[in-house]
Amino acid sequence: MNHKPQKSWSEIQMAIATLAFSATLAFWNLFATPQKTQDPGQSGDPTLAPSLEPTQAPSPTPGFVPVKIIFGGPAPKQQVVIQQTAAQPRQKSGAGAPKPAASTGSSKP
Amino acid sequence: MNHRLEFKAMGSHMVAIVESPASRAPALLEQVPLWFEAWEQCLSRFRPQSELNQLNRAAGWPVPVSETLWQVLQAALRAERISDGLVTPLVLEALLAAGYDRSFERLPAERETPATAGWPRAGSLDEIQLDPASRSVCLPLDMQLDFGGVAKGWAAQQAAQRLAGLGPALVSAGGDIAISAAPSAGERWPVGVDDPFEAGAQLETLLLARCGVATSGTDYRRWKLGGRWSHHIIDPRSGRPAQTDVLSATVIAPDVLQAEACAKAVLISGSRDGLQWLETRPQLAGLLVLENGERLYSRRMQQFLWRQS
Repeated sequence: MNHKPQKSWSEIQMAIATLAFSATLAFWNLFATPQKTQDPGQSGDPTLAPSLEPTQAPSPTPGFVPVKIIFGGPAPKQQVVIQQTAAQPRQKSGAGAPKPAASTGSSKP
Repeated sequence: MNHRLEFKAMGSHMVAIVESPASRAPALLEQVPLWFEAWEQCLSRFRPQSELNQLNRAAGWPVPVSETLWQVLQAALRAERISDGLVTPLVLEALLAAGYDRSFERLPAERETPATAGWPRAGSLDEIQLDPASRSVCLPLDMQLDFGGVAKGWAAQQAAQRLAGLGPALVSAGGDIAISAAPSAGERWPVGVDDPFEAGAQLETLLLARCGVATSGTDYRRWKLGGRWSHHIIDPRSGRPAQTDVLSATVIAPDVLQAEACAKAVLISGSRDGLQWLETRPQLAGLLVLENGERLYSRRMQQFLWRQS
C-alpha cells in the first residue's frame, strides 16, 4: 500500500506567502510609473533649506480616458517637505531673531 | 573676535564672553571658573567652612572679613535699600524652615514632614556693626546671613569688569547677566528670556548694551514640603515663600545687582504692585510672566525687545 508523506501546515503557509509576495512584486513592476529624476538644484542634505517649487496639482482629467486600469492607476507623486533644523532654541519671539549670546531665566543648573 | 566659555558654578550654569582681538583673551577667560570657585568658597552657605558660615557661627563677635565678603555684604545692604526691604540677607532661617537646607540639586523633590515652622525674630540690618577701617563685621546674636542671588549677581559683575579690560564682556551667572559694554560693531548683545512654561524655549530676545538683566522665578527651584509646594523666594514680611501670581520676573537695570534685587522685589510684590513699582522707576524695565500664562511688559521694556523689521 502506497501512502503519500504528509506535508506540515507550516510548509503550506510558507508556499502561499511566497506565491503572494512574488505576485505582488510582479504586478507592482507592471503597473507602477517610472520615478522622476531629482532636481539637480536640490541638495540631499535635509538640514539645508532648498528653494522649493510649489508642488503642482495634476491637471483635471478632461474627460473619459479609455485606459484599462487594474490596480488603481499610476503611483502617486512623492511630495518632499524639507525642514531646516534650528541650531538655537525655538524662539517664540519670531523667526529670524538673532541667536542669543546668553539667556536669562530662573537659575538652573 | 568673540571668546566664549561655559561652566558650572554656584549650582548654576555660567557663561562668560569677551570680544577681543588680544591673544591673551582665551587665557584670561580660562581663569573665570577659578574666580567663581574662590567666590563660592567665601560666600556659599552650602560649604561648611565658607567664610560666610564662619561669620555666622561667630555672631556676637567682631570678625575681620575678606574684601570679597565685605563687598558682597555692602551689595546686600544696597539691595535691601533699593527693594524697599523685600530683598534681604536675613532670611536664612526662613529658607531652612521652608526646606531649602541644602544645595538645590541635592534637595529631594518631596519631603514627608515639614521643617520647623514659624518666623523667628529677623532683626534689622541696622543692628549689624560694620567697621570699614578694620573691615570687620559683628553680627548680633541669633542673626544669620544668606546672600542668595546677590552673591551670583556680584560675581557676574566682578567677572565682567575684569574681562572688560580686554573688550566688551558679557557674563551670565545662572541667568543674572552683567554686560560691560555693547559689542564693538555697534550692535547690541542679543539675550534670550527663558520661557518658564517650556524648557529650552524663549519668550523674547532682548537687545542690550551696557546694563544688567536678571530673572527671578519660582518655576524651577521648587519642591514639596508636607504635601504643599514650596520655593526659594522668601517674602520677608511673612517669613514664608512668597504668595504671588508672578511665575517669573525679568528686569533690566543699569547694573546686574540692581536688576537682581528688583526682579525679586517685583516677584514678591505680585503683578499689580510689582508692575506699578517698576513704572515709577525710570531706570528699570520689566517683563512679568504670570502663573496663568499672561505676560505683562513695563512701558520702558519695548525699547529692548527684538522685533522683525
